[in-house]
Amino acid sequence: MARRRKSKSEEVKMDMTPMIDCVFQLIIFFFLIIDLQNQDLEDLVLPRSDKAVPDEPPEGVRPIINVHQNGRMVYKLHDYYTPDAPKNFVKLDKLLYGFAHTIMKREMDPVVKKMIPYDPLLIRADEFTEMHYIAKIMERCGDQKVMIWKIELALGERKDGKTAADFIKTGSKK
Amino acid sequence: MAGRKKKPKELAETDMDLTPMIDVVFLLLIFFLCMEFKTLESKLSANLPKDVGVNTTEAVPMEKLDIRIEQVRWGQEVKDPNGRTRYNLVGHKVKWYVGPQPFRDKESFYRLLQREAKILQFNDTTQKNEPKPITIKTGLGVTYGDVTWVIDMAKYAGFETITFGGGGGARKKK
Repeated sequence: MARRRKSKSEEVKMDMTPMIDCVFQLIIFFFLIIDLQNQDLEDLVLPRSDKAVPDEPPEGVRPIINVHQNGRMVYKLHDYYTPDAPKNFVKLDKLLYGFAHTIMKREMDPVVKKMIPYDPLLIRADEFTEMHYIAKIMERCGDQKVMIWKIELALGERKDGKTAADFIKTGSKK
Repeated sequence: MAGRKKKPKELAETDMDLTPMIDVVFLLLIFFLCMEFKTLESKLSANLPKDVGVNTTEAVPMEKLDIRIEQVRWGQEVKDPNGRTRYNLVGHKVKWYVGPQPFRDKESFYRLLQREAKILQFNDTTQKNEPKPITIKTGLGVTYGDVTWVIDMAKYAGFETITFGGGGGARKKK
């Protein structure tokens, strides 16, 4: 009987080039995404809280103002107020006006009987930023041309026993 | 003999081992996929008064609970241990006023908030019985962290609506 000849297994080389191309493209994409995300959020130490709700960023452009410890107000890496010129609010006013008229959704308010912005402005400030800087933003928000009335205060992750909840649970003596 | 020519060497076909590179690239890809882009963890919502300031519309009278935060001691500015260009405040102390009544300890302040939160009043807008809205006012040298702490406390006590009133100016620096 005729024996079957064993066929030699052929070495098949896979072409890795397209896969590597794709993977590199993905990495570049992620790098860019991270860069764009970080433009909104400055490196700040936020106060902690337990009653805060988890932040779910809305789609599209989000109105955020970062306030540094020295009072510098930053949006997308640009300064809109610096404590060196304490009475110069021109840039901040323009920014808030822009938020109120382009980014934020506007609705008719039954109390003031006007179309006013209904999206919140997120304020991110350092734990030890003096409140009067944040009060300045709030004051400018109340301007007749701006009328932003909903605000959100950004808070950080709870790390140690420093929140109000900890005080309530343990008392101030501990 | 000098006339003899050297044969050109044949270029050897060398296969580059792509495995380590692919490993590294995949690890990078997994890192970026797992990374949480959202660095902001939580937020507290608050409102700014719509019916004050330059606005000419009539305000609906409503009883509010006024909380004022005043600085007792600014504290010592200690450089951030993580090398950031910021400081931590050590020994920073504030006191709270509910109406004219001052509070220096957190326990009695929280107890009063709890008591006040149980007093409900009818809200014309929501058509519900709710605790009074809280208005927070701040004095000189009060920080963003002090304010978020009070909001956290108020939310624990049962208050729902937080608004901001006027604030003090800039702290006089030494």
